[in-house]
Amino acid sequence: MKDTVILSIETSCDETAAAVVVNGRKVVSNIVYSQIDIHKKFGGVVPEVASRNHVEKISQVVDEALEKAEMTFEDIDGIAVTYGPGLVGALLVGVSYAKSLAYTLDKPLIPVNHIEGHICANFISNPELEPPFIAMVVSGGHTHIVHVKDYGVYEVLGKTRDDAAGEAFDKVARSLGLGYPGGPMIDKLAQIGNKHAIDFPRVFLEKESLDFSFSGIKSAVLNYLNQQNQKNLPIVQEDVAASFQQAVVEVIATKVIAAAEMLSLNKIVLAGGVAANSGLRNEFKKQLEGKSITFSYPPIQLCTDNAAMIGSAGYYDYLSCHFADLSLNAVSNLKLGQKLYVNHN
Amino acid sequence: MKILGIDTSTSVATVALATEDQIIAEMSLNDKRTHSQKLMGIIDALLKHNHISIKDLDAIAVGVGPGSFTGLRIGVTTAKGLAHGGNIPVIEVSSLKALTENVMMDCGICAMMDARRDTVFVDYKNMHFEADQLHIDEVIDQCGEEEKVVFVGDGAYKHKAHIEERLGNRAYFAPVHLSQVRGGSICTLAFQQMVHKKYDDVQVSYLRKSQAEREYDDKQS
Ligand SMILES: [Zn+2]
Repeated sequence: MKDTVILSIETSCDETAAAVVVNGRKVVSNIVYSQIDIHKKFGGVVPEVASRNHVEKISQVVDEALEKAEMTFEDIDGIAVTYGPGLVGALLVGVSYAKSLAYTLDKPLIPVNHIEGHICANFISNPELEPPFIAMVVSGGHTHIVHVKDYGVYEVLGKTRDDAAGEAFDKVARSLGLGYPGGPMIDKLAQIGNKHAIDFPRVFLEKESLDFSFSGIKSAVLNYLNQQNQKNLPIVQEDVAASFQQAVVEVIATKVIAAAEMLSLNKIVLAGGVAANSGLRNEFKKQLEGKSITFSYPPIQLCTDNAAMIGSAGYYDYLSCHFADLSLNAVSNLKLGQKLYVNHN
Repeated sequence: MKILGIDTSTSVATVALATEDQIIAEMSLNDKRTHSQKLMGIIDALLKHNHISIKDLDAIAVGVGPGSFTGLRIGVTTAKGLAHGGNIPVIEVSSLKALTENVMMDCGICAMMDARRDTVFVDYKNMHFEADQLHIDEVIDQCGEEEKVVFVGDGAYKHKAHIEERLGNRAYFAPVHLSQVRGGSICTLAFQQMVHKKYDDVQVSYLRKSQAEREYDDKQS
């Protein structure tokens, strides 16, 4: 069978990215231009600034992706682009570019859901992985337990009712004065801190529920810091980070494993930026000891935002002829599994 | 020579196909907030009706600003994608100059684009203003000496009553059909300029830093 080559574009937040992916699994190039240093001085991603930088970098990352892959537009079978969820102005850059490029080259345009992309990063890092399986999506914007029933078929089993896990990490990091982005800083400190030092609450919600709530633990950390300050007691940053992280990852791992057992699925994967968190990975390994459930996660460069994962998701949408026409728009609040653009040809 | 001209700097998405001496086709949609959904459709329709493809064009001309930030990005990014895929150059055109181009009169022509909060982006007799985004009263002050001034653009219409109050019968307003940016004017200017750029070098001319950057700068000084 002939190889299917997808050129993919991702601009949903603060990374301008393009990649070339073969048959959904093999990454031949994966170019990411990160704006993280640009946004640092603002203490977080500024949408207008992100959008402006996307316009400046978009054609460059596409050219670099093709160059690295030693390919030209002729070799491409389809163009995949993230159309949601994300920052609308940022998404619009990728969408407008992919649309006009696909139109000019007369190639199919494949609209991809960013979160589905995160899940599909696992198809790249784990060649044996096939649905069905359970995916835990953890990032600054999302905390979803997902049943991946088949390629491109998703069911959300549980999600956060307030803050995303990554958001809680960022907020706690800020209150500890760790700067932006906070998640990786917490993880770094947690590795040397004592995770049993402070007993932060584990919020499991109702019995059987697969939903999450992280606003309580975030407040508990803030209260703890205030109390220590008022009593003039020392704050050991490492211990706070380790204890907070432990409280979060314990709840996540427990619920995800419960979901897999409930559906008799023997595969669990992590996805999203927080999947790079070492505490989360270790907790899963610990809780899965003695169980016949396989557990995997992508390497860090595929956990954070990138276009290779969009190329993988795009490949499976390509196979099912899930194409968009020229009216494709950015959908900032796109839901997981929601397919807004279907091919009517 | 054939050029495709695009502008989405205002609530109007406008596209034209032109040669040096004629506008072959032109289409505008004044439908705010749908540029992303409609722009490629208009381009496709114009090209199909004329049986040509992007690769048959000699250049893409695009209004790079000033105007709505999001609107400009849709137009400019679309132009970059077309130029990249079609391997043709891009000609950057001022959206504001394109407005001035709509009116030919032997007098002061003041093109104004609404920039909100009683401010406008202005092009007036090639004058150099300290800031590109001015308060409407400052603009009227500048025009005060003139015997006759023709105002053009959505900024002019928005502040029409105020301008008339201050300048009385010295103020003229371009008719509605000449008061919005047109793809045809973008093409005309492009033929005059003929500065070809590679898709990668095309920039949006915002004329204004983002709010976050301005606040950051204020804090630093
Ligand atoms: Zn992401």
